[in-house]
Amino acid sequence: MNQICQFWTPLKSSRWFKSLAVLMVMLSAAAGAETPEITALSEDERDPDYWIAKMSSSLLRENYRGVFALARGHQFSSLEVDHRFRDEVVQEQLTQLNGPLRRIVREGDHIRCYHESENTSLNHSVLLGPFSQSFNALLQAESDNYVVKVIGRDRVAGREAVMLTVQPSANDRFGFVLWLDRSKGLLLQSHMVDRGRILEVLQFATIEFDVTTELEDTDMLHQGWAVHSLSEEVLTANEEPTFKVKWTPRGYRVVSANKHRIHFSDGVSDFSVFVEQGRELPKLSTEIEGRSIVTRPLRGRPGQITIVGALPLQTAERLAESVEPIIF
Amino acid sequence: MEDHKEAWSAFIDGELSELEELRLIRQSDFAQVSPSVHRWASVREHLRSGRQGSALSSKGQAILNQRISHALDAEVSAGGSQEAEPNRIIRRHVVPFAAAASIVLALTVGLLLQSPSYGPSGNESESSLLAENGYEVRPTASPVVQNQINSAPQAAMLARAESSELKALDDETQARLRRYLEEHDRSVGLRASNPQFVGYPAPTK
Repeated sequence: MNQICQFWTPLKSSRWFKSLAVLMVMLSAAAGAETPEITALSEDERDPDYWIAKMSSSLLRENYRGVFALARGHQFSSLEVDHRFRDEVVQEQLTQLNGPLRRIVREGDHIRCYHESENTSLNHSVLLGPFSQSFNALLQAESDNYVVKVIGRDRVAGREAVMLTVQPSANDRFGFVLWLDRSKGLLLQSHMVDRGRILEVLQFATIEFDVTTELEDTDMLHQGWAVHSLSEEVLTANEEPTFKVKWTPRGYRVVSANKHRIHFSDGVSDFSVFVEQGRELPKLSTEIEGRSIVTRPLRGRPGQITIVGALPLQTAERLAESVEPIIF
Repeated sequence: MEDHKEAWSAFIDGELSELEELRLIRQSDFAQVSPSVHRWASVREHLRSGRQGSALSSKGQAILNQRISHALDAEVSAGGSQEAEPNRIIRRHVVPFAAAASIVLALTVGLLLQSPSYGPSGNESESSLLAENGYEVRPTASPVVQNQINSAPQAAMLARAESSELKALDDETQARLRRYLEEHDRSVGLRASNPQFVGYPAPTK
């Protein structure tokens, strides 16, 4: 008993509390302090907005060539990208390195897909760039739906990278960890994350900047290949849809629409709402290749609602419940 | 002789009645054993009073404690030699500081374990890029953490294998869902190169 008393005696003294207070102050100061990795960055580089703007610009304006991998769900793809920006026009060739040989060629708004073998199906998923999520500085700048932070430095594809977290303010959307080229601002690696689970990984293995050579002539390169246009399929007119979405998570806006589909984006992540007639799909909530898919029958009219995109399932389900037909 | 020893043993253990004790003393050489008997009787009395409660009154206890404290203080000041001084400093300054540090450390570890989030937290559910599965990115991406980052995708990807729910669907339904997925992807890919809003108004809130 005496020993216990001896132990507690100093705790009762004000000296002990002073020590505790000093330590708490030191600890909070240490927590607030920036790490040496961040302090090594310039003042501009410590500003996340600087990186968002730089990344957004570099997506279009840099001339680069590299190989990257994209993992989504059980799907894993390796692609070679050759990107040019000439006279304010994007030119890009994207070659699939595993599976059937396919090359997507973009010249401005015109996008064509070339298949080496004429026998392969033209109905396939298409990756139109190394950036599955189209980070958009215009949308992001006014957004308080994400908190962007510069958290450190790293090395990706042999290049110095700055790490950022894009953390959602609420649990109704996914977050990202980004690795941007310190010199060019290009996205070298990204993880799409849902509360610790990584849903999608993009990573450059090699990259070369300031490439001056012209892209190979596509006609010469693809003689005898099957070709189909992607832009005609996708660039549909912005028609009035026949349905309305009464609820969306905060910050999402319509970026394209046609009769049966509305595409929403908050500048960081995207989802589409489809409403179609035809045979009813079963009521379904699932995840395919890192994207959520939710289907529900349309209330009050024949038709089927389908939500597809980078959203948590709960958010997609709530969205589906809010879809209603427009009665003219 | 043996009986005699046993009788004395029983006396010491307090197992004899008063008559038996008197008999034993009479049988012994009283002059020889008398001092021992008296001393033992006194000791036994103390032990009995100890069992029944403190022999000292509360006032006596206070005085005794006071005396012990004075004696201890006197000992410390008398021993105020150069060897004792560092010990006192350690006891007065370092020990409280170490105790405080331990508690702060424990609190910090506890908080870190409880809160998986870093950076500003969300309003609804402390949404976080951190880990249910151990995935974590620290501001200073140490090699160990970096390995976690690099190895985490494989585990996560396996966990995300295509839903059996989808495989159970007929071909037509699967194809339709695939078509939606592809159309969405293409739309996202196109927007990346032309990030503009369309004129269509935002949905009714």
